[in-house]
Amino acid sequence: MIYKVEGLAKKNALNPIGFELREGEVIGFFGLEGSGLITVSQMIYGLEGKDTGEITFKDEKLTKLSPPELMKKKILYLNNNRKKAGLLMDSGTADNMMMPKMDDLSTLTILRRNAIADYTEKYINLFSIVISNIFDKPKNLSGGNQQKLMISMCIGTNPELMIVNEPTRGIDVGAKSEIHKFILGAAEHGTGFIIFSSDLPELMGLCDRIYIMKNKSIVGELDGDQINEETVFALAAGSTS
Amino acid sequence: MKTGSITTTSSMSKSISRKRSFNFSSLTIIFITFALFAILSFTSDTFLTQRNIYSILYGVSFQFIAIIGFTFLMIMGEIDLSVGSVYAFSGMFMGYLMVRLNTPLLPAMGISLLACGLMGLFTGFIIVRFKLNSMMVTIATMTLIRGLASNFVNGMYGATYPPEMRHLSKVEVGGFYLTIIVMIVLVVVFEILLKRSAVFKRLYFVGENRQTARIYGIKSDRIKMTMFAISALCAAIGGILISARVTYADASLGLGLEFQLLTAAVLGGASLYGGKGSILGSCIGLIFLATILNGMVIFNIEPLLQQLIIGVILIVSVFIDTRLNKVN
Repeated sequence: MIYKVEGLAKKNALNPIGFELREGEVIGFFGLEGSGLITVSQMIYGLEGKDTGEITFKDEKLTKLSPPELMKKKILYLNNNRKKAGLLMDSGTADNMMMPKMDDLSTLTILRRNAIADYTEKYINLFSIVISNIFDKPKNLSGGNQQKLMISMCIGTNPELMIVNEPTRGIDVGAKSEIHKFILGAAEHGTGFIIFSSDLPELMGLCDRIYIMKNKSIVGELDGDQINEETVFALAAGSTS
Repeated sequence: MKTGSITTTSSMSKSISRKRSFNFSSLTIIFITFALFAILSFTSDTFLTQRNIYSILYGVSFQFIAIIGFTFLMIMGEIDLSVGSVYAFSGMFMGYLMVRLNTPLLPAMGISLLACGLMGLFTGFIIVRFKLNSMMVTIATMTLIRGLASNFVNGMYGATYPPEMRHLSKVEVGGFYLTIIVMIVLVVVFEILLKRSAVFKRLYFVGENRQTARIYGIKSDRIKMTMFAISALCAAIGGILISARVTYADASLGLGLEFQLLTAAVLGGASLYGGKGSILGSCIGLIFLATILNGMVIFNIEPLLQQLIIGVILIVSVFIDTRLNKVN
């Protein structure tokens, strides 16, 4: 396995949990509101503190859980709320694109404008983001295009593992299926995905395995053909587990 | 590339414009300042003289150094209200070291700058570490540092600073005061760096949305702490020079400077909500304020009214800032 979490817990926020991701796998986390889904995603990216827990990535213990350290290890994070934390709505698209990659796109801290424009254009085309100028502001883009831009920002850094929160919430069907197609394609090429979503059909379509959360704990793990809606909902909402 | 599989969905490459839209945030204040210049030139014979303009620029050049760090913090969405106190403290401390303890010029300057830099770093540290509101913390440090400065005022018994210190503000290069030349050079340098350097781009990113910047690996806490130190250092350098110009420890030095800088920066396009601002804009903002005060002197308007006018300009600019920049 390439990624393993053991005994991750925080008082009043998360009961001890553990899970793992094997090579080239897409795993999902499903839970209803208040199940602790978001807490787990934020904790493993160092956005929220933990009391206990060990995380191993490619046989190496991750001692410093903070976004800059994890980004160095090619672990990226996609937030569930583009406006609150995800995109700079008032900065240009090119500014957004370069943000996770500024060191690579600058020489002696001076930003290379042409390199940034090329880089931005490449991902605009790759994801067919509808935009007329690379300096357009994300706030003027549709939800689907915003989401594709946010994924581009992560993908541009060639991540080996992506922690994904609600990848397609509130966007149009076309963009949704494009993003799904993209995730499956990238997974085939070796990128690991941990997807946190409240959209069960989405998880069923994308994931090899699904962990089900309830009351700040993992209450079940379903593999491949075991995954069906009744079982998942029974675990996620049921009174006995 | 590993993730090349998506190319199938969009192999056709469209042409996307790379033209930057004309976005020169300082334009409004430049225009207003020119209008003010025009009005004063027509209504007064003494305004548009080389000597008068030169003296306006010379006066502004001290505050300008202080507004550099102040603007950086405003871009990050923070504020440092202790600038006026640091401005007063730095020169008085240096003068005190020289006059009372016979410290030579350079060590005295070094010790004073170091002390101010450390105070800024400490302010930044408690703001970041305990997640405190920078406005409240710097109101506290403003009072605290003003208190320290007052001790030096008393300790000097009205003595003037030594000649070599007083000379600092009068250094000339090619017939111009060095402080004015430095101001012009720094405006140009920072106008370029703020737009093109990754270091300064991060200030805007953090200022616009700290949470977003954090997700993509920007160490906003560390940057913020550094910027509080730099803000104190800028105020200290400006303060040493203005003390040298004033020649003695004046208790009223730098009083209300923080509000002048705030007004100038907001006039120059900075926002209390962060994510905006430029050194050029802040500099023009200072020139605008200095020109208004200059005009009031020319027309013999009560000094008491000057405070009132600055206050009114601050309210108007904060009103406009809120209308333009407040989210939701």
